[in-house]
Amino acid sequence: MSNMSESLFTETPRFSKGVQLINELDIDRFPKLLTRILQNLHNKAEPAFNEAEQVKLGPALSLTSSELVLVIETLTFICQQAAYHATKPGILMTELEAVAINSDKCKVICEGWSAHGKPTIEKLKKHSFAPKQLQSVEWHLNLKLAQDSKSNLKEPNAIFQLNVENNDNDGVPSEPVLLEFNHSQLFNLYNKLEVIQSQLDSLS
Amino acid sequence: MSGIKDHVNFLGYPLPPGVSLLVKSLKKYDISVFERLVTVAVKMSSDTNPTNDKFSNLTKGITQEAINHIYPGVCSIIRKAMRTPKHLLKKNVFENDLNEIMLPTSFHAPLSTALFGDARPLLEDNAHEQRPHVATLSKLRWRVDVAISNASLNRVMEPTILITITTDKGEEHTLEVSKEKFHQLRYSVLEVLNYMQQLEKRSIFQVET
Repeated sequence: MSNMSESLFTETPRFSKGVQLINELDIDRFPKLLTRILQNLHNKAEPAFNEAEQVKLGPALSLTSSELVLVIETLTFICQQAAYHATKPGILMTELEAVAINSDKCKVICEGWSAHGKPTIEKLKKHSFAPKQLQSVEWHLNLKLAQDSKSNLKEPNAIFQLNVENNDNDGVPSEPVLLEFNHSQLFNLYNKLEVIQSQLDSLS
Repeated sequence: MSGIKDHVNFLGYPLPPGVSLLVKSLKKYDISVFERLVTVAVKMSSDTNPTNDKFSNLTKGITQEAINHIYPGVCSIIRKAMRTPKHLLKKNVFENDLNEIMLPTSFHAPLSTALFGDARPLLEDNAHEQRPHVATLSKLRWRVDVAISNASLNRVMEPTILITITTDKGEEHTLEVSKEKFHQLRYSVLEVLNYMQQLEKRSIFQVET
């Protein structure tokens, strides 16, 4: 009975070639390579190694540039699959051995995964592609003393600035949202936020 | 020795030019014209969007000369009276001040009813509307989502909040707020509320200037 349906990795020819190259890699440089890939896993926009680094890395690992690309891709794929299924290190070890990766490399991968796996998964959880996300909240509190239509006021007035990160058009920063509140308006907002909080609490 | 008065006329010194003209020209006009123009002034001041057309409609049948003599003064009186805080300008003080500028007593009634009657709240509301301000929150709609899985992870189970803010200036913003940022927002709101309450407890608030 084959375990292929439960396996984390489907052995395509390209994958097998990648495994072969990985097995041939020098064990000394392997941990650092892996760590870099793991730390960059959540960052889909940028590759783990930029162009300049790849140029230097190839000869250092005795790989041609296309072989290097394949090695990085294969390792990235392994890490992504581990993250997707939230694989425990022990199971990962078994899976890796099943696709014929040398046991010394398996050990390094599992050690790397134990160390960096959880933070990577947490970062991936937080990743969202909503167009506008709240980044930070700034405020200042004024005391309104008078305006052109009314003298002798004594009203506290708060201005909130909601800094928004724009995920839509990179490079076009979103304008912050400015809101003004007097005491009762702020109290209403607080009540609404409390309702939302109670919903969040009921989830956990 | 002439006494130094404590009380300053709500119109200020020197009188706004419209008011001086009003007082001088009032003998030529009937009380009904005056009443009508007071009503027009109150309507225009309570309106969030006063236009020339509305004004023309309201002043149909009144001579331009009457409008020129009466209307600016009436507007100034209403505006100045609205500006003074209520506890400093009660009805009798108001009427005394009008006497001081020699506005005939028979013409006090329309102004008194306008400022101390039913129309007052409308005038107050409009004054509040017209103030210069940054957008205020008119509507906050929200929903809580839990991401079950995404392209990178089979099991996410992470709550996020989506809020749509509608401001009174008509802008609409839809934002996603993560749990941590939501707590930051809640904390800031609470902090400011706390400061506001502390501020209102202080002694300057208890004293009415």
